[in-house]
Amino acid sequence: MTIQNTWGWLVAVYLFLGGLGAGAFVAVAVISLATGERFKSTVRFGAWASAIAIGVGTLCLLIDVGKPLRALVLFRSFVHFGSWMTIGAWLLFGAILFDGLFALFWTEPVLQWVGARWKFPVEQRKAFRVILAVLGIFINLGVAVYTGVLLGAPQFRPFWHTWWLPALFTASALDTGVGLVTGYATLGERSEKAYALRNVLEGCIIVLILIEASVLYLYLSHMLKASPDAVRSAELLTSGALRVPFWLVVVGLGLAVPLIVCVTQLGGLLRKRAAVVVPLIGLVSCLIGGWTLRYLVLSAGLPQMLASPALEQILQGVKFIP
Amino acid sequence: MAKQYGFWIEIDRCVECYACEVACKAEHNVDLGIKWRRVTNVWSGSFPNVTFKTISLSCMHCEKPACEAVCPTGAIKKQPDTGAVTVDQTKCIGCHYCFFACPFGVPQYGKSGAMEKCNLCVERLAKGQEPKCVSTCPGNALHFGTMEELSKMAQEKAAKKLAASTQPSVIVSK
Amino acid sequence: MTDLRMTRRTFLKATGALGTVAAVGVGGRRLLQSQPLAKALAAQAEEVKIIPTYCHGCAATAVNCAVLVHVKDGKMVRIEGNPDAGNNWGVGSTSLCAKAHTAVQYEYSPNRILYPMKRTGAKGEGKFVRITWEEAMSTIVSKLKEAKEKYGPESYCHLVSEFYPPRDQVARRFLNLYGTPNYCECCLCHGPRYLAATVTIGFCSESTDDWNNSKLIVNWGSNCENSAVNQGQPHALLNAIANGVKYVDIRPMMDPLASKADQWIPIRPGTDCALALAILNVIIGEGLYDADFVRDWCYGFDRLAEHVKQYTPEWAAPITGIPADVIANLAREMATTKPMVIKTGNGVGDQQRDGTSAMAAICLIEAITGNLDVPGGNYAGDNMPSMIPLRNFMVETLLDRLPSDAYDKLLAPSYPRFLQKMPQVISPVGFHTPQSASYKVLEAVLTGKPYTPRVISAQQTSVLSQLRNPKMVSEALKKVDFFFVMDQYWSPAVDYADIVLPACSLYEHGHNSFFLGVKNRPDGTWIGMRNKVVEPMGESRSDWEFWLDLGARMGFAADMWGGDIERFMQEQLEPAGIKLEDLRNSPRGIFVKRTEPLPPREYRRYAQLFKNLPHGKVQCYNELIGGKPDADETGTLPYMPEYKGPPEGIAQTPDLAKEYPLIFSDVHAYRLDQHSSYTGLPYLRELQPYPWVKINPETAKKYGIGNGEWMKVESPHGWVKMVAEYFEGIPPDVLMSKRGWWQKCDELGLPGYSCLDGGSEVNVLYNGDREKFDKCSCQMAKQTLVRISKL
Repeated sequence: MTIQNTWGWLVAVYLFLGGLGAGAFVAVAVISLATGERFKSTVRFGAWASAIAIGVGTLCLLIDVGKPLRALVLFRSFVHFGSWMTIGAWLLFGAILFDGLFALFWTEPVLQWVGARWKFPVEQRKAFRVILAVLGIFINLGVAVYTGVLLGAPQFRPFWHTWWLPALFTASALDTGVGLVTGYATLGERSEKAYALRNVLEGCIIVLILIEASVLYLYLSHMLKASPDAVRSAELLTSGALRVPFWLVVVGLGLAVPLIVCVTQLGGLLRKRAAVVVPLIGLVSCLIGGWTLRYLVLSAGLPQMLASPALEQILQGVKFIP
Repeated sequence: MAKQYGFWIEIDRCVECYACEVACKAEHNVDLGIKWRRVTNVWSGSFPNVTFKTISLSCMHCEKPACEAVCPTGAIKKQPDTGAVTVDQTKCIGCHYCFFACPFGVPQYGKSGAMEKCNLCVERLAKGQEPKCVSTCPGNALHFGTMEELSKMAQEKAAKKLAASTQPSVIVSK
Repeated sequence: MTDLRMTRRTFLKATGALGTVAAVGVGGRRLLQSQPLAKALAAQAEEVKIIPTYCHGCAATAVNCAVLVHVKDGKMVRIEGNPDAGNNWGVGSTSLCAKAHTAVQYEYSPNRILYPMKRTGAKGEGKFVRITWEEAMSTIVSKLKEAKEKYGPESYCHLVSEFYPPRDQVARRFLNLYGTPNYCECCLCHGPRYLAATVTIGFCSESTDDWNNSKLIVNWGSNCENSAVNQGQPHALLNAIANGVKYVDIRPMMDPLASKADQWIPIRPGTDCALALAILNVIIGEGLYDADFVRDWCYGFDRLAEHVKQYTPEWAAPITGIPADVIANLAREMATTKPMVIKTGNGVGDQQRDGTSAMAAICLIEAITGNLDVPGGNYAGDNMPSMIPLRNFMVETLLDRLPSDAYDKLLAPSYPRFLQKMPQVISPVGFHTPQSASYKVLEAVLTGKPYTPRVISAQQTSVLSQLRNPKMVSEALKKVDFFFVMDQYWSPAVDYADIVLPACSLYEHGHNSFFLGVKNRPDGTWIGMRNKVVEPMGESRSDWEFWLDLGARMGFAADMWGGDIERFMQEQLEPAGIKLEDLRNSPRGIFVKRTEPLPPREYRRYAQLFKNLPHGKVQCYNELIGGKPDADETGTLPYMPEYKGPPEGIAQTPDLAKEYPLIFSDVHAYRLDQHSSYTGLPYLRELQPYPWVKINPETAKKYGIGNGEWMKVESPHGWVKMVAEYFEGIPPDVLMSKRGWWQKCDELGLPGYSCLDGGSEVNVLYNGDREKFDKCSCQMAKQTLVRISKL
């Protein structure tokens, strides 16, 4: 067995979008708490982006399961709370709800429409925004952490069965989420002091990338020193069949390029020229790297060898040439 | 006191005839491409110093099923009276989580999208019959009973219970 | 093991009504039952009928495993072994092999022929139109009458597979009444081996009754984990091994039983005669034989001793691929470990150029080591009287109705004419006469020698895939005046037929010959009946019925029970004192307990066993067949076993081996099919989806062929494409494959493969020159040399 592909690219999309949405929400929630309505365009974008991202991601997940329509009925299907998948399903549900509500509260036409019928929420919108932001941060962080814990809960996939994984996925979630918001802030935010927001965000990205890179390094080096199964999996990424996408895309595009872009932007070198292209490159690379990270981690999730290599042969060796 | 039924496979009596695999499929109308019971050869060495052993395994009906623990819908349940780990296909959403949890790669997914696997032939047990695979083995290599019964039978053959932390209810012996 | 099953059954009864159970599977549907399970099952049980019959799995061969088939609303849903019959390891056994469990798929296969058809296009084109049975039968009758008138009855030849009850009895009867001796044997299985043994030691036993007394069991070219898996041999062998018998396996490839052997000897395909002669050389040369037995019961030993001096282990080693010291040690072991029995099979006598000699030599090994009919040796079987008296061995075939010159008119005797002419009472070969060799009969269509067959029929035999040189066969079928086929599936030969008749499945008729349904055991005799389980699909009819009907239409009604199959069966059953209705209505067959205790087992019954052999002794120097005309009547048969080797082989044709360096052979029987039958059934086909060749990984890698990849296999006679299957248990210069891949499986989206060059039928690769056949029983070698390449 070389590569895990039962949970494949679509599940990677779900994990990625879940993280992206969570990170984007946290970013704009914090912005909104810190600066109020000053950057409402960005906040509104981030809120909708997060709701849609998590929504679409969840849809991808549903498409991937054997019985999507049954899965949709959450209160029937996700009932066993001993399972992380149940916890996750409700977290996603909550996140979509909160992200969506938060987004609605930042969308003027909606407020107008509601206000004409029901004054209370519109009059109290500032309070609602704060409550939704605070609660939403917790829920969305929960989603980000959950994407890693989901894989980590089964104990017989050594590459996944570790707290490093949720740490990595959370770091990546924040990194990609903030990246997305920064991209908008650069290209779409028209308010005064937009450049100040950009600077702060770019700074955050640099910090997040450094954190993510550290976590990635610690995670892989831990794995490379652990059981033979863990080594097998980790080596797939570092030196094995998946090394090219790992080093080129995850590390190169996902971490190095956005880092360089942010550094140069902050340094002001290219601020006047290429005002659109460079940040765009940084954003796109960051997102591609984020999805690829999820996909490669999934692919490297090999099962643990059991009592003996012989038994492994038995259980993996289904003789069927399709 | 809950009973735990399981299987005992005598490797030295198995002739890789696939009767158990096909009997199980016919009994439960299993989809093509899915095997509730698998017959595999385990090779060692290379020609001319080569040999192989054949083993037939289905679900381990573990005493601590990892699949049951991770199933979000509660479709997977360990039956208290037989120890069989069964899946309720009307509840399963086909998320594949059990596949990742199971250290033996047992869960498979058929045309319906839901998970399916060996159910210890609970419907046959209810009629006082053995699982189909056991009843069909021409070589008398596959046995069924409570773990205590099987242990006693297997003792003299120096059997080794499959070692894994989910405590599978299968004895593999020479 | 039996006891355990009993206690478990009672144990489980206690867990009876289980209350709610999450998953239930009955008849295939997985339902959630919220009501108590027992109630639900009880409701379902009423709708299911259980009908006893015999399994279809060994198809053309004898009925073996009695089964119980579950039928719901007129549809088959499930099958299980009949525990009362005494299948496999005895009473209580419900075991069945993999094939049995495809009963439902077999019955409802979309590949079945359902209606009588008439060819409208050219032969081989595949254009047919549906006709009525009436038209089909009248056409056949008129053609048969015409052929008899114009060319003589012998111009009609009927092709058969190996040992198919309807054919052996009612078909044979018809042929005798019609006047043709040309009942055509495929010469691929059992018959040749049986003949070789009986003309050498007077009997051919496959009894496993005494294996627990053996100290050494040598499995030589026998494939019981593939052939008749559920008929007792694997089980008996496994028990013997568990009891500590030493087990040596002499086969080219490591099959599952070989993996359990104390010693596996990977002999080169087709070289068993050389090994056997070398073993005789060592045993005799080192004086390890049983002098008493040799003195008292062997004729011509001294001449044999002289003859085998040339066959040293050093001589045999490069031929067999087995080191000389291994051969010598094996010989010593076989001579000095007593008692010893050699279990032989198709691989060692039925498909080799010197198969008769090989089998004879092996029998002589058992003989001179004093292992014939001794406890734990080659035991000739229990002579248990049957508690259910039945008519002879089978239905009277009315052999006496054949014209007096019938044997002389045999087109191509499948074994020597003089043996066929011997009265059955004294012939060591016994029944199954007269018969011609199918391959040579088809050749005669093209050559006209000694005369031209005018009408050919085939029943339950895939002529185009199972015989050598499919190209020749297709040309013969194209040329022959009239060819009619009765079968369940549209095998490639059917495209060349003029009339096609739909044979119903073995679950769709209740036609029997009762002696075959008998299981004679120490505790008594059990008889079961083949019952009709479901109605025949389309307009298919049973093979039995066909012959009775044809006989009646040809004017033989008086001798064919008026065409009434009930009368036929009643007549057979009469001596048993059992009524047909009673047998039909017995849910699990009828068992008659043994009234007299069995006498102790008899051994060393030499006077009886050898009584039909010259001098009443084992023929070390064979005066029964030696010097007599062979089957071709172009030469004479040897007095003693002689080595020939495969027509193409590394040691035999070293120049050819430079271009074609690998040895190719096939397994004959395989546990997932019945030769070419059942490869279209999904549950079996998914276990072997592609035409496979087992190849040593080293060899495959040398040619750049990956596991599961298509490869070209080419011999001097033709080429095929097969899928490589990496297999460590095979020598690097040997390839093993399987015949019969013409069936398609729509459910899996897999095609059937052509039987001609470029297809996947291994018979394309073998030598079809009759000069290279065994001259005694027309065995056609299934060994050749090939070269391979990636496709």
